[in-house]
Amino acid sequence: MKAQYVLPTDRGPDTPAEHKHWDECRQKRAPKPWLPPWKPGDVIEHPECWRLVRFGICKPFDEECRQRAGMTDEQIAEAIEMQKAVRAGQLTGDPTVDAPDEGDDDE
Amino acid sequence: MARIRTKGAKLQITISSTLTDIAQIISFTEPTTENQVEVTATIDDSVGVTKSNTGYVDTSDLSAEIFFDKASATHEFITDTIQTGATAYPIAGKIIGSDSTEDTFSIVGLSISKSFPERGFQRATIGMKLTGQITYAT
Repeated sequence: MKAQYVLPTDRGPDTPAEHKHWDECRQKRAPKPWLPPWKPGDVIEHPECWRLVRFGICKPFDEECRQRAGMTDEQIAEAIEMQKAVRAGQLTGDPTVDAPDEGDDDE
Repeated sequence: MARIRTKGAKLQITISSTLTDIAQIISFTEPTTENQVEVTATIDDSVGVTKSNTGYVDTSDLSAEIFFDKASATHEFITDTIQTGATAYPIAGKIIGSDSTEDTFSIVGLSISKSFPERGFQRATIGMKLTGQITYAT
């Protein structure tokens, strides 16, 4: 199953070897990034990559991923916009819990 | 003294090789990290309880409160992972402060529970059981 990144995203460890590398890097406080981040246009092949489509980080790259994600193109576009709001810390629209706009100082 | 605001802080966990923001976070509490100590007093000692450092560092659970949405991808991932069992772990995670500092950890267990506050919206608390130590940014 394949998906294609739409938004730049940090990489997380997946295999046992990557987890070992992640633990070593963080224990040494090694400089970031511990593995190259995912860039827009990169394609991931992973049995769970349909979740990234649901999160609005990727779009389906093959039919298997599209079917498992079960989303229309409109829903995928909505998920991407929602993910942008999540990253901005402004998902709820409620100023008491959302992050302030850039440059605002709400103290 | 520096004051770092909490708004803009994020919790990320690894989903499909990708550090993914957990959506709809209202608040979260980092785990307590402490030296593990053991009572070494014996029954015939004097009144002062003596303790010794075991040499281990114990990290408590991490908890996060989210707005509950059964259709959300976050909720779906948490419940699916819990029901998958041990093979779903470990899961790497990260807390990014609003000042861009990062604390990292590894998760070996998840929990989720819904709550119905008297006023407001349905919420859920996500619990994360960590293994080893959390690595602090400073």
